[in-house]
Amino acid sequence: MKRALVIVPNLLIIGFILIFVIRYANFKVEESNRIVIEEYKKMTATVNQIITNYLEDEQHLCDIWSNYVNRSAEAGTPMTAEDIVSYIRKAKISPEISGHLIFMDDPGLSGISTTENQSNPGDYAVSYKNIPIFDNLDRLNDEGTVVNITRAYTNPMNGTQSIAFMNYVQVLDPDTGELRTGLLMRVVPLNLLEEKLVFLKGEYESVEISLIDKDGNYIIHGKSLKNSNFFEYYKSYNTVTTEEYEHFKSDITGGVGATTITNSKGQECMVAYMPLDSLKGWHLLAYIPMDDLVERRVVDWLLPGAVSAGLITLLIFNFVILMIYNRKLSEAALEANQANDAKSYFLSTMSHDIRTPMNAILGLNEMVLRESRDDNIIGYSESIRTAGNTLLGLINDILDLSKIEAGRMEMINVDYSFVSVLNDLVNMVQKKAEDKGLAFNIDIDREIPSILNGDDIRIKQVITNILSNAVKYTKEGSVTFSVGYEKIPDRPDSIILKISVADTGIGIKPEDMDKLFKAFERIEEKRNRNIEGTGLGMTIAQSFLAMMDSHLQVESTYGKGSTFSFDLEQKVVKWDPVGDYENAFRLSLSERRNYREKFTAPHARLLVVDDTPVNLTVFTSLLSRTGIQIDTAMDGDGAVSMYKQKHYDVIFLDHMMPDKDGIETLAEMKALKDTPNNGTPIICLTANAISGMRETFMKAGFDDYITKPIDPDRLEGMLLHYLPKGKIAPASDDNTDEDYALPDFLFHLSEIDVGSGLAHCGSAKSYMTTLKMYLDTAEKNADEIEKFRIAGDIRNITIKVHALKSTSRVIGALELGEFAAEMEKAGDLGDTETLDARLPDLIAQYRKLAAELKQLNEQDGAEDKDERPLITLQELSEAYKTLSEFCESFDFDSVVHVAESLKRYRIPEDEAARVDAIIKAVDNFDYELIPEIVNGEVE
Amino acid sequence: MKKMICIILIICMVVSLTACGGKTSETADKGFVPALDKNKECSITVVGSYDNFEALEAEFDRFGEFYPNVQLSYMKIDDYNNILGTVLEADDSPNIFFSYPWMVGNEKYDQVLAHMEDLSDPALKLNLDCIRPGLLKHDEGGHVMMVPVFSRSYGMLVNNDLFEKEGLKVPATWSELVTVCDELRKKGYANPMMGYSRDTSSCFMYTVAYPMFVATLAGDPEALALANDLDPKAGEYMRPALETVEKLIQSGCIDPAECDKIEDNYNQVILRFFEGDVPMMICHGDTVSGTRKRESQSEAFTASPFKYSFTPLPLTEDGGYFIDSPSIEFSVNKDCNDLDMTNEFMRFLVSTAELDEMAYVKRLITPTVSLSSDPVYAPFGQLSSERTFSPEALGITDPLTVQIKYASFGVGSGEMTVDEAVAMYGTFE
Repeated sequence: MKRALVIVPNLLIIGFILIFVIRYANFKVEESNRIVIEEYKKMTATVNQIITNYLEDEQHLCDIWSNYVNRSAEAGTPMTAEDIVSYIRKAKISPEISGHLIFMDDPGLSGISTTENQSNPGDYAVSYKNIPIFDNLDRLNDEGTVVNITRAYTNPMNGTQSIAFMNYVQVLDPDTGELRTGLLMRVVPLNLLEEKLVFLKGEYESVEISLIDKDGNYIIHGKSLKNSNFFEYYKSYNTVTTEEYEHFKSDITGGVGATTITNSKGQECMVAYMPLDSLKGWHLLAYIPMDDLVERRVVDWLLPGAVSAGLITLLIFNFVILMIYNRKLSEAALEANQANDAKSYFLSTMSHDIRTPMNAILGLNEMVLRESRDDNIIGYSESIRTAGNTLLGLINDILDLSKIEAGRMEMINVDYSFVSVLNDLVNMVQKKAEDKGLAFNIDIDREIPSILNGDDIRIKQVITNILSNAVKYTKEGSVTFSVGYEKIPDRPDSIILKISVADTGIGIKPEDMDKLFKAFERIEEKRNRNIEGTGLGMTIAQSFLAMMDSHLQVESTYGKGSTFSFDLEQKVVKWDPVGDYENAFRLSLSERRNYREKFTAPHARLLVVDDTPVNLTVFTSLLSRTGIQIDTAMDGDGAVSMYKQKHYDVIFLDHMMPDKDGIETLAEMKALKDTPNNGTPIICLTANAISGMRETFMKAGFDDYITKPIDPDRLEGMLLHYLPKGKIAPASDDNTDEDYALPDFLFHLSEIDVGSGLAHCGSAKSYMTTLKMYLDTAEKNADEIEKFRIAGDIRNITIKVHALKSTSRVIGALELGEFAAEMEKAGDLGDTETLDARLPDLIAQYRKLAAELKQLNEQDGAEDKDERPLITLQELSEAYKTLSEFCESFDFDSVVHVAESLKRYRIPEDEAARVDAIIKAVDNFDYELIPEIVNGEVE
Repeated sequence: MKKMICIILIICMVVSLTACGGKTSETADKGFVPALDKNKECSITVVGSYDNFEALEAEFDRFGEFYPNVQLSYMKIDDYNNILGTVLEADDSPNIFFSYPWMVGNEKYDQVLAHMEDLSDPALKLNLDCIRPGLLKHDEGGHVMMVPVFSRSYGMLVNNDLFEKEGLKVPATWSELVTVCDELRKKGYANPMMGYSRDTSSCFMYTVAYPMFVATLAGDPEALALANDLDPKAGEYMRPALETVEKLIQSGCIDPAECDKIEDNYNQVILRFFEGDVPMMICHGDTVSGTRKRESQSEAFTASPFKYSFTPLPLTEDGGYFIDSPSIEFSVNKDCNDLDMTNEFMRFLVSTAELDEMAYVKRLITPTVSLSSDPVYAPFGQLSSERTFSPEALGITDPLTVQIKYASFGVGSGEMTVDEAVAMYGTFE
């Protein structure tokens, strides 16, 4: 999984949670702030009440003084200023509070104080001339005004900021004896009022209480509220429009509320306001910086902070865990890939390793089928072919699935004969059905066009799978193979094939339907355990159909049978109808029973390169009836050497060879200039049939490839395609090799395995020739081995038994070959004891076999008519020269190949003895004699 | 990719954590290095006659960056000149108080002077060199009891945009002044010049006469001595100044009757000027200090703002004068509580940067040698040193200024002739 798929949702979730937490925290903060502000406003109301009480109390005390004075006047005993001051001195309790009696009719607003001037002791005169605090004096006459108070001012007697409570009194002027109106002031230091608000400390440490009049002028001035007018202060530090400013003023003087302002430091501050109960037109302001009021906000922010940290920590933790798991997953994926690579390697190896022996089995079996006249042998051989094909089918299924899974399966559309496809299908299934006692019904629409375009191989594979399954899972009854077709209105060059296979088998349970197309799953495994198969057939069929824009439909009734069907669009190449398929099928059966090569090409020449002699034998045998001249090489170097010297029409090059593989050999060939083989098609011969190999070979430079085991039909088809048309002739009617019978005594010789000999030699005729050569040299070789044994010449003994080993195996004398191999090994090891002990037995067996084979000479007859092409003297001269060069360069494998090539030609009589001598020397591994024979030094 | 995610996460974490934190205070002025315990807790009170003193309170805030636990406050004292002595005798007497040059020599203020600390004491480490020498008053012992924090001068507010609009040049000489006023009248400006005239305090007559009288005395020590002694003979030295006032009125440059409509010598002077139809408003520097704040209070100015400046009055053919005189001064109450912190604040305040800043905010002329202040005062900076006089440096006393104040007001208001005013020298109180 990509990290982003984990991280992005995590971040989004964290974001959403944070947004929620922040919004919730903000909401709580706002709610908290609302509560705090409400509490603050309540506090303001409390302050208002305290101040009101205090002011009323102080005013009341002032009124007591004035009442006392005025009652005295009313009683006819008015008091003089001195009397009043004296009275007040006695009446007042607090030394901080003083009384001032001011005569308002005096221009200097002068009067007398109860306390002396602090800077001028003994002076009790007081003047308010320059202290404008009596602007609101007219209030004294207002009804309903409870408190008559000045603004805060500097007490001229002691310099203390004070407020004064006032009331008029009637004062006796001692000079005139008349009453004068005086203003009696109870002067209270401002700090006494501030002390009343001490309860605010702690809860609202930095609150400042101010009193303003309706114009904003301060009566009592909070320290932070600079300027002499609150509204001016607001305007100085808050950017507002005139309208907002007026609105602010009306709010403050209009009732109870709270608002925020910016102070001189740019801080947001809360100002709660309300009219002062005791003083009409005066307003209480409670100012506090917002940070001090809503300190708890910091605590609230801890929540989103902690959640953020927690979530991020969680994310990091999850990320780390994810990384650890990802690392483990990567390791697991790596291991899985390695395992997959191992699987691919295994498949490749299996493909090669199984197909190689399968090539021998099926190839040689094909030869047996072609050449045998014994019905029993043909029956056995047919069984081998059936079993081999089944095994090959299983392998192919696995390899096909490998290709499908790797996405390398390609549909290759070609023109094909629909009848041919039907033949192959019916051929394959009919016998199986008959063997199980099932009726195999064929219902083919006669009007189906005969030549279609599509991937016939895969179509066959799909239908084969369905038919095979039908036969496998049907115990009794029938299997019906139906093919119909429909034209497509808007595509006149195409038809839809409607294919169905119905059986009366065991059917499929509805619940098992899902398993039908799952790889390696088999329905009712326990019940069907005896039925062969990998469980891949339906999966592959469905995959192929999907690649051909179709799909398999299944209708099944458990216990009654199933019908598998699909529709397939195919282009029509030839609209000729297939006609009566039954006749066509019968015809094909007869064709099959009488194998004939598709063509002959006696003037064509092939080079086949394979490190396995059997494969070379199979290859040459399969093409023996075509008359094609076939040269063989067992390794890359030999092939290159021959490539340089002789023109070939087609070259088959094995892929997997020791030392230098097919691709390396091909590269070497392609790099060569001025060879007779420029433009010669080179076809890869491979047992690797897994997906991707085709691309590998094409990329490497091969023109085509053919898989082992070699399909004879495909091989012949490929040659028809690649061989020059001028060298291809129709197949001859005669069948010489077919009629070339081996002597019966051979089949009775216990020392000889005729089959093996035939396999090695490719044909009966070739086998006979080889046997005769073996016989001709046997006596001489036995004598030489004996001679070397007596002389103790281990080296030459070893060379001789090596040759004996090879020649014995070629003719099928397998036991003798093994015996010779043991002696060769002893010779290589210098084991004289073993040689001394057992070599005589070897020689004896050798001579015994030679003696038994002498019957061959008696059998020799007119059938020896040589029909091989006559080699020209020039060609023969070149062959001699090549042999000499190979001998000089000790390239004995090439010497063998050249010698083998010579066998395929009829030799002019003058040179026959020389060629026979060369071939004998080769057979006897006397390579050193060959140059001498070529030069005529030895006869 | 992985690194990017880690970085983003770390940034998110840091941001989210720092979001919970407080705001870091700005770096304080590196010029001032605190000498006392920064955590000291105390209160310092400055008292004065200003209704409000926001420029000083801004300095409190700046000082608070060094000493966050020091509470500084400004308090206005009613009837300051009369009550200051009493205030200083109070139990909780202020730490710093406004002082004025005229307090020196006045018996009434002996008690106040007795509270003043010698600010030239080297132990205090006040940077008095940053102040223009003419503004510093040294007593006989060489002590400095007052430190000027603002300077004032005498001149006129000029509506520069009006002059530009009318294609006129701001007058720099007496002739130009008379000519310009004539032109302005012709252009429909009924009052080319105005000023306060209701009483002697800051009246335009005094603003015109005083600089000229100082200039007259500056070059004649004997005359100055006579004038300071209130010798009636010194009355003649007032004559040029008084005649200038008379000529100014007679020339029609200014109409006292119109000026009488201006109700006070500060607020209304400014607001009248902001009406925009007065090309020149005679006033002194203290009045100019109120212009910035009142720009927004004037509906006319808000509707039609204009560029203005404070310019020397062109009283002679050689131009005007810059009378460089302290506006207010600070004195330290040597008997106050927390004297060490009070002196620390003074050490902080008496610097070019802080005094310039305070003058800029208050819109007064800075007392520092830099003379760099508000562009409104730029015309004064262009005057030559020969035309700059410092009354304190010359030794002009307050009684002398009272004589010219009353004499000029009497002549300007028509209450007396120049001759009568000259004859009455020494008798004005």
